[in-house]
Amino acid sequence: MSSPRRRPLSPAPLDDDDLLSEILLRLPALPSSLPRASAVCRRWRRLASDPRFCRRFRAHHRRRNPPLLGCFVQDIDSIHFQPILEAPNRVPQARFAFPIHAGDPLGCRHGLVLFLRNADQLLVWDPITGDQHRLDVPPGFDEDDSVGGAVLRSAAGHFQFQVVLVGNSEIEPTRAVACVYSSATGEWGDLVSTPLPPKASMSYRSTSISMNHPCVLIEGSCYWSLAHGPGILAFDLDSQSLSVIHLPVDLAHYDFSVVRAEGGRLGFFVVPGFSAQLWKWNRDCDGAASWVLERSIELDKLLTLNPDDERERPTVAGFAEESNVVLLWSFVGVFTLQLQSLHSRKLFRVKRWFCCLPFEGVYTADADIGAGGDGAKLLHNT
Amino acid sequence: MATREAGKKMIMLKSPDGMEFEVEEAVAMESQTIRKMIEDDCADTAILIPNINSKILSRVIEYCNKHVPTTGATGAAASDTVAPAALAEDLKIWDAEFIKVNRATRFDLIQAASYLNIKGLLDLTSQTTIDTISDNSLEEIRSFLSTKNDYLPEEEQTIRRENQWAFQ
Repeated sequence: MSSPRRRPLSPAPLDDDDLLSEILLRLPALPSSLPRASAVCRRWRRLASDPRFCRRFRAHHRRRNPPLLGCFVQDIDSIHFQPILEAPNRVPQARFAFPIHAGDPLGCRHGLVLFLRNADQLLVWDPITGDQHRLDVPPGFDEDDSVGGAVLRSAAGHFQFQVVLVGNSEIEPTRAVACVYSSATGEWGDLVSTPLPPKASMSYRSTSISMNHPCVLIEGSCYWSLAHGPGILAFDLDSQSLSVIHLPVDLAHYDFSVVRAEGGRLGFFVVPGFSAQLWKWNRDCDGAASWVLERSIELDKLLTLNPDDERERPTVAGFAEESNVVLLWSFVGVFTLQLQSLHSRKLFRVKRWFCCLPFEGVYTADADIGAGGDGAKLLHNT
Repeated sequence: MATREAGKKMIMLKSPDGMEFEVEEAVAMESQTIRKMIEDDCADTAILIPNINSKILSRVIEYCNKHVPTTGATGAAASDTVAPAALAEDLKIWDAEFIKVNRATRFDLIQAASYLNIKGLLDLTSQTTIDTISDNSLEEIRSFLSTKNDYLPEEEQTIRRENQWAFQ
C-alpha cells in the first residue's frame, strides 16, 4: 500500500496558511482587495502583506487582464498619476510618487514604466513596489531624433524584464535602428535596422518615431506610430527584426494610434474630425496582408461633443492594451472608449498634456511607501 | 491494485474509511501528487489517500473524470467532433453545477485539491469561496468564514487609516 508522502491535512482549511493564501490569491485584482483583507484579522494581514504572497498575487492577476488603474499625465512642467477607478479602488495620486529626475516617460506595460533621461539614460520603474532599475542608452542611436521605447516583463519570469529601444540610426538617420535589453543578462543585444519611408514634405528632418504615442504590443510584436503618418514601425520580439508597415490612407495631418483590432490583430485608430475609424491588418488565406476598415465611430454622438465647436474635437491620447481601451482627449475632458463594447466614460479634465500613459497594474500593499531616489531597491532583485 | 481493464491501465485509490475506488490511471494522474507517485514507480499497489474521506474522494474522482483530456476514453465529455470553445463552455457549466455544495464540503474539496495538487479543482473551489465574500463587509466576511477579529479597536482604526481610500 502506498500513500502520498506529504504533510498531513490540518483540521480546518482556513486555519492552514497555505490554503488561506490560495484562497486570498483569488481576490479580485482591484486595488482595495488586499488592504481590505488585511483589516479582517491579524493573520489575514500577515498573509496579505507577505512579500512572497504579494509577488504571487501580482503574477496571478497579470495573466488575467489587470485593471486600468489610471494614467500618468505629463503636462508642461510636471507629471502625475491620475486615478480613474471609482471608490474604493481609487488609488490616491500620492501613492505613485515619481522617482526623482525620472525624465520623460516612453511607455508603460505589465505594471512597469520606462523613462528616458538626458537622451542617454533609461529608467525602469515599478510604481507599485517603488523598485527602480537604471541603464544606459546603447550606442548607435541618433540623439537629435526622437526615440521610442517599450518595457515588458519576460515570459521566462515575472521578475525579469526587457526593454526595446527604437530610433534613428546615428550613422544613417534615414534608417531606423532597434536594440533589446534583457535584465536577465544585464546586456543589450545587437543593433538591427531597416530603411524608413521618405520624410514628409512638411518636415526638414528624417522620418522618426512619433513622440505622442507610446509602443503598443500585439501578438509578440512592438509597434510605434511614425511621425506625420507615413506608417508604423514594427519590431518582432521573436525574430528580433524591424520593419515598416505602410498605411492605407494619408494620415499626415491626423493623430493616430496603433490599437488591437478584432481578434487581437494589429489595428490603428484615427480621428479625422469628430468621427473615428478603426482599421485592421487582415491576412487572407494566401498569406497576403492588407488594411481593412473595420468600423467608423461617431464620437460626437457617443461622447456628447459639439461638432460645431472645434475646441471639442477629440484626439487620441493613449491606448490601454490589456483593457482594449482608447483614451481620447477633448477640451471638455479625457474619455475612455472600450473598443469592443464601445462603452465610454468621461474621466477628468486636463487643459494641456504632452503624454498620457494608461497604467494597468495589480495593486499590492507590500511596497515601501515613498521608496525612490537612492534608497530604491533594484528591480531585478525583487 | 493496479489492474488492466479493456486495455486501459487502472489504479486503486483507497480512502481512510476503507472505501476503494478503481479509476483509470490517466484520471488519477490529474492529481500531480498521484502522478509523481506513479512516475516514481511508488504506486504499483493501491494508493491510500489519507484524510480524504470516501464522500469527498468520490467527488474528486468525479471532477478528474470530467476534466481528464480524452482520447475517446471514459465518461469525459470531449470528442473529436466537439470544438474546443464548446468543450470549454460545457466544462464551465459542469463546474458551476459541481461546485453547488455546502460550505463544509467546499472547504473539504479545497483541502483535497491542495493535498492532491489538482490545479483546476483548487482554482474552482478557492475562486468560488472568494466570489461569495468579495462584495461583503468585513463583518460579513468574518462571520461567513468564522474568523475572529483579534484587533484592538484602535489597531483596526490605524489599519483602516493606512489605506483609507480602500474603505470609502
